[in-house]
Amino acid sequence: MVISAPAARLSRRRVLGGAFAIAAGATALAACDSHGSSGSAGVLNVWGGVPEDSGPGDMIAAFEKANPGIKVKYTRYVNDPTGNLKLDTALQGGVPIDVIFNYGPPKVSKRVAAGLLVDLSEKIAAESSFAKFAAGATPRANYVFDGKVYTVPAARSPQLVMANADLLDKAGIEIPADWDVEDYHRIAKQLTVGSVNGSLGSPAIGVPTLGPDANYTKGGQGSNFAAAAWRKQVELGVEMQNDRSAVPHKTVLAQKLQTFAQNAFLGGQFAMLSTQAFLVRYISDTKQYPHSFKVRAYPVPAPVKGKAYWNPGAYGDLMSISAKSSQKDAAWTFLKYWVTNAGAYMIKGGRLPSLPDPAKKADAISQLLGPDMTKLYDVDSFGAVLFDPAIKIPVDTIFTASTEIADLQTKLNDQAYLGSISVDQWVQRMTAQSDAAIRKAS
Amino acid sequence: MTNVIVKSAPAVVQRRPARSRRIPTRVGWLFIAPNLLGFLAFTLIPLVAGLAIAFTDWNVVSGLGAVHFVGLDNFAELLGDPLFWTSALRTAGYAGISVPGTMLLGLLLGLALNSDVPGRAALRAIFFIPHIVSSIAIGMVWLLLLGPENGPINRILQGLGVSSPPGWLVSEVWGLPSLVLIVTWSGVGYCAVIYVAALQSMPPSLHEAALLDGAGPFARFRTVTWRSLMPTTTFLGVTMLISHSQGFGLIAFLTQGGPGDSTTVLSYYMYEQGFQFYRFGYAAAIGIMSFLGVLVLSVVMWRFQRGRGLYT
Repeated sequence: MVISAPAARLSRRRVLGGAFAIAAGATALAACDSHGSSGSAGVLNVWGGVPEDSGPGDMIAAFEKANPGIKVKYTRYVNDPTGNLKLDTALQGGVPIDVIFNYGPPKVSKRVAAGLLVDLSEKIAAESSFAKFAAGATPRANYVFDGKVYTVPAARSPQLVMANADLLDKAGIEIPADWDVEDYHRIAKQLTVGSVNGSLGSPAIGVPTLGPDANYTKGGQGSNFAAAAWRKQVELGVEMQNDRSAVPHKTVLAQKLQTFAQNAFLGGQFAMLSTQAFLVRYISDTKQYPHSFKVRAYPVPAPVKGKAYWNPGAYGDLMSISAKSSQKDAAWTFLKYWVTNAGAYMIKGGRLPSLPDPAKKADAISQLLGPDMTKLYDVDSFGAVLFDPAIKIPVDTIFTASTEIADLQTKLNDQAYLGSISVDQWVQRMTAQSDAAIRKAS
Repeated sequence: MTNVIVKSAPAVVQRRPARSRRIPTRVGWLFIAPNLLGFLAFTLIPLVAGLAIAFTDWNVVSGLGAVHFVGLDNFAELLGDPLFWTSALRTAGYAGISVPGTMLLGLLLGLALNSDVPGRAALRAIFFIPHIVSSIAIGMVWLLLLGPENGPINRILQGLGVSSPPGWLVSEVWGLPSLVLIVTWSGVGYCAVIYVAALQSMPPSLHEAALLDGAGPFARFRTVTWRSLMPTTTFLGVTMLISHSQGFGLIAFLTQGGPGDSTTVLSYYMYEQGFQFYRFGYAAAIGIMSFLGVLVLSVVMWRFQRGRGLYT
C-alpha cells in the first residue's frame, strides 16, 4: 500500500494534466505581450490583421468619438500560420481579447468548434441593416455553422482582372465585357511579347463553375476534384505555361509572385492578373512603385461565354466576439459600428465594405483610387467592375480538412505547372489525397 | 595534551564543515538559479510537455478541455504515413551529404588556413562570417544567385553553353541539392575555424617524432594529424548532425517544402502538421522520432571514435 500510493498519485492522467497545464501556461505567457496585457474595464481589445494606418486607426478614432465611454486598443497580428497561432494561444490562454478579425472561414470554423466565439445569431437577427448576414438570408452573405452565425463580414472582396492599359492599347486589344477564359488565353498570348508575359497566371474555372463548396461532394464526405471544371482549370494553366502566355511558374515561385505580384506587375513584367481591390494600395504608391501606365479593370472571365458564373472572391474581415470577453455589449457596439462605417474608413486601404452604399458609389471610388486616380486608373472601369450588381460571391458551408486541401492544391498545382506531373496525375492525386484528408478529419 | 587535542578535534571538524557547507551551497544555488530557472522553463518543461503531447490529439485551438489521450495512435499513423518516410529519407540525404561535405571542406580549408599564408587571420574571419550571419540573409543572397532565369549562376552556365540550366530552388530535382549546397557553404568556415584551433593545439613533438621515423606527408597526416583531430571531428560531426537534421529556417524561407513536397524534410513536415494544420500531437510524435534518429546516430558516432584518437 505504501509503495503503491505514490504510483497512484503519479497517474498517467495527472502527468499529462500537469504537462498540459505547464504548456498552456507557457503559451499563455508567450502570447501575453505588451499589447495584450491590458484588460481594464472600458477598454476593448481588438485583434486584426490590417495595419493600423491602413484604415483601422481612423476607424477607431471615429468610434471613440461617437462612443466616449469606450476606448479601443488595436493589436495587429499577421495573418500567417505564426500570427494565427499567436491569436489562438492568446484566446486560449486568457489574454483579454474582445473582438477578433478572422481571415477565412476555416479559421472561424476551428474557433467555433473550440467554443471561442460568441453566437451572434440573435443580435444579427435584431439588426435590420444586417439582414443579409442572417443565417437564412438569400443570397447567402455570411458563414453559417450548424445553423448559427458567429461572424459578421466587414469586407466584400470580389476578384477582378487588372490590366496594363498601355500594353493593351499598344497591341490594339479591346477586351469584350462578356469575355470568357478562351478569350483571356487568346489575349494573354497576344500580349506576350519578348520578355513580357500576357498574364501572371491562368483564370479560375473550378469555383466560378461550381460555386459554393466547390471542393466537396456528398455533403462534405468526399472531394470534388474529379469534376470537369477542375480538370479544365489545370489544363488551361498548363497550356498557358507551355505557350508562355502566363509567367513561367518557376519565375512565380522564385520571385514569390503569388505574394508580391505588385512588384512585377507595376514593373511591366506581365500585362494582366486576377486580383482583388487591395492591389490599389501599391498602384497608388508611385514613390515605392514608380510606373507610368494606367491600370484598367475587367470582370473575371466567364468559364463559358454567356453563361452565369460565380466570382471567385469572398466575404472577408470576418468580425467575431470572443466568448471570454467581459464586455460583450461594448464589443457588439464596436462590431456594428465597424461594419456599418467600413465604407468611410477602410476603402482607402483597398477594402470594400460588405454593406456598400449605392448612393456613395462615386465617393467610394475616389477614396479607393486616391487623389491621382485619373492619372493612374481607368476610373470608370473600376466603378463598373467593383460595383456590378450581378457579381455573385460564393459562401462555403463545408470546411472539413479545408486547410489541408488548400495546401495539397498549392503543391500539386506547382507540380503540374512545372511539368513534373500530368493533368491526369493531378486529378488522381488531388482526389485521392483530399479524400484521405477528409476521412482523417471526419 | 595529546588526548585533549584528539578529543576536541572531531568536534571542531564536525561544526566547521557543516556551517561552511551550508553557506556556499545556498550561495551556489543562488548563482545558478537564473540559469536553472531558464533551463526548467525553456528546456525541461517544454521537453516533457512535448513528450506528453505526442500521446494526445491536442489541438491548441480547442484548449485543454478537449485533450484526448490517444496512446500510440500518432506513432502508429506515422508508420503508415508515406510523407513521413519520404521526409525522413530526405532528412537523411540532406544531413548525410551536407554534414560530411561541410566537415571535409572545413578540414581542407582549416589545413590551408593553418599554413603560413599571408593574411590568414583576416581570411579566418572572412570564412567565419557566414556562420554568424542570419539564415534569412544567407537565403536572400542565394535566392538571387540561384534565380532560375536571371540569376548570375545560370547566366554563367548559359554563357558556357548550357542551354537549359537547372531551376535550382524551384525545381523538384534540384531543390534539395541546392539547399545542401547552401547549408554546406554556410558551415564550412565554422568547421575550418574549429579545425584550425585543434591543429594549433596539437603538440609539435608528435610531428617531429613522425618525421624522425621517416614518415612522409600523407603518413604524417594519417597517423598524427587525423588521429589528433578525431575528438574535434566527432564533436563537429555530432553538433552538425543535430543542427542540420533540425534545419528549418532556410527551408521555410527558400522553398517552404516545395515545389510539391520535394524539399519537405522532417523539421518542415513537423512545422506543417503543427502550425499549419494544428495537429500538435502528430507533430510532437514526428519530433520524437526525429530526436530518436539523431540520438542513435550521435551515440554511434561517439562510440566509433572511442580509442581511435591519439590522445583521447
